[in-house]
Amino acid sequence: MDEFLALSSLLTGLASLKTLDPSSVENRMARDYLRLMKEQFGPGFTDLLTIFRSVAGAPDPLQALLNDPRFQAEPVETAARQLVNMWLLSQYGGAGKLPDQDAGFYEKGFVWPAIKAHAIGFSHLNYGYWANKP
Amino acid sequence: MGPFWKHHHGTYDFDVVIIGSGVAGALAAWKLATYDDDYRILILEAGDNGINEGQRVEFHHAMDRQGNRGDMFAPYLELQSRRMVPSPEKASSPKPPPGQPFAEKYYDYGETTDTFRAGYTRLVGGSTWTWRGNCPRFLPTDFRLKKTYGVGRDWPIDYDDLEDYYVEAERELGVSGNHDELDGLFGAHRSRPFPMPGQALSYSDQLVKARIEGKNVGDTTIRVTTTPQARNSEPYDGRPACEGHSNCIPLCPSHAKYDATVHLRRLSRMKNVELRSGCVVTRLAKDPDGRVTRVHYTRWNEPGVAEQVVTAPVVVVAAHAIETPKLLLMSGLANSSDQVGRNLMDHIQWEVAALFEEPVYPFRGPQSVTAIESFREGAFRSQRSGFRMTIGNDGWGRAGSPAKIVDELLAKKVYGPELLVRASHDITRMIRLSFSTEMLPAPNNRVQVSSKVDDALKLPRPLITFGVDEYSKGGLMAGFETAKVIFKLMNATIAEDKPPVLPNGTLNWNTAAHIMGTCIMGKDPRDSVVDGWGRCHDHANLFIVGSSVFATGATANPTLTLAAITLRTVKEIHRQLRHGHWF
Repeated sequence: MDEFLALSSLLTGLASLKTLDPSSVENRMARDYLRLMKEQFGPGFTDLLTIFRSVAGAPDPLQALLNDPRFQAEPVETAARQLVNMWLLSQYGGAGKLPDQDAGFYEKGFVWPAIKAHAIGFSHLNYGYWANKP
Repeated sequence: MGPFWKHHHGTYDFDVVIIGSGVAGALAAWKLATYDDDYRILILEAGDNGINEGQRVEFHHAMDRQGNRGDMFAPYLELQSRRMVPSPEKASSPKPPPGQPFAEKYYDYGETTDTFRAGYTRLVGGSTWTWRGNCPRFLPTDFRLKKTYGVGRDWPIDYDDLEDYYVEAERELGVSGNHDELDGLFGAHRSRPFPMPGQALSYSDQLVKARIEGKNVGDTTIRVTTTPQARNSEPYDGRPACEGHSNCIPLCPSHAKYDATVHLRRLSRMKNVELRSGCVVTRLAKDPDGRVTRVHYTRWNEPGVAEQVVTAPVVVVAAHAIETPKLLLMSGLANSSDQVGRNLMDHIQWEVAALFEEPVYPFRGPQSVTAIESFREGAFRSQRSGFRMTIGNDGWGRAGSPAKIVDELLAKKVYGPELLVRASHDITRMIRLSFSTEMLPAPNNRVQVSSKVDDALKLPRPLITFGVDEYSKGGLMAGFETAKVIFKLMNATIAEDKPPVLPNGTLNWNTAAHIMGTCIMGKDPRDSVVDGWGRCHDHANLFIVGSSVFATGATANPTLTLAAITLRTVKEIHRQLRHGHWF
């Protein structure tokens, strides 16, 4: 799990993923996303983890990973993209198409706080909040 | 001695049978029942779903499980009725290359220029589950397009005939709006204020309005106004004020937006009104004297039950503009004019997406709050369509979601801390202008009965022939050029400069899913299906309500106008029932 979270943090830029409270929703998300990655993107995900291990000690692990020739393989890149989609949108898809599958935690996608909005369809605010700058 | 129609209670099963429980059918039933709660009314509905808040929550969960946020059918895909009474689910797909099959599994196509991209839902409550709620009125000239501009048709009724009913429809649907902004718009006077004040402008709307209000595009001055919308701006009719879920299409989670379940729930408490769901009407039959009194239907949610028949002295077809003509054609009724199914129309729509120069923070509040009505009317309507322009509050709308922005960044190998910074930069600046144009009624754009049948009940599918006319294409291009000028005025950067009409004639367009025509109203029985009261020329006791009776499509969303016409039609039904014209 720690390795999965470290890889997730590297790809998404979300530093908080490295230190998740075991009782948090985010930790449950991590368990589910890890399972989904294995189920849906098994070989590509395995290769992605292998590359990640090999660049872990590099001065700039992210650039080392992106520049690794093995990362260019379609299954590996697809796995990386869908891992990011899960964390940001709680959705995933396949190669060459927008995510269209639910990963179970849509409302908790990390893209929403980044754009200062709620998940579409999940306002917990009152009438007229939209008139104000967030 | 009571009303004349009560003497015949023993002759018929019901006093009125209404086919369809969308806004037209539900509103017709409700209004009739309020005229006289002794009316025995039966509503037959092909769909089979609940109308309570539990059903709404269930739809919300179903939508979440679909994953695809852009699918207007997502909340409803798990209903059994979707398999038993199919709707056009892939209709919005463009026409495939020659030799390739259409993806659509419900519409059948003959020799056709374009696919007909507008879909609808066959649900208890109809397509109002999925509508955006916009309720602009038509303009006076929309009812006399031929007389004023020499194109299209004239209606047998005009704006003044409908004004009182517009007021009533705004009250029934619960429309929020700002009276002073719209009173007198191109001659469209308003005799009453809206029942609620207009929606609060979004932060985005305020920034946009500050930059373009009062400026000119050519000779036209831009006025940004609050769109009248059937969405509560304060608690109304037992429903809450909008909470801004940004999810009006495909489902309002809070029920601040009107849908036909509002009236269906009221009807469920009335002693003489019955709603039978899961009932697909297969045929209407007439008596020897030409009155249509028998309604044949199949009840798919009770397997093994044979076809059933109910009788009534008045039959109202409210099955929207594809199923209504299909039923009439299958029944061989109301078509002495050969106009049933013809004049199929939609609002041909396009949108231009841009990035504002500072964050506008979309996806907060209703999907759209404001519009520019300024381009709907002018002498140009003799040559090309006007257009109604809306300002989105939902990023790029159909042109791009947050997922698309993220995906494009990932395709460029933007990962790590830079990813959310750049995604946030772009997503918070997303803005769109959309414009809907008018199609002229054309006899060759039509619905017929296909020889192909659906999978479950083996009933004929609609056969569609459709082409977008030059009139609408002209409006699309005018809208496109206008949108570019407006974005320049607000100093926004257009994201994709893709015109709706390409030099080679190829057409890019979206459907507004505003299906109209197919049973148009007119004074002359030789070239129209119903008269100005919605009564079939051929059958004095058969009425049609809904946008299928529209003689022209105008540029305004059709629901408020169809609701107003329905209220007017019901008044006539009530009058004639009381006088016993058909007994």
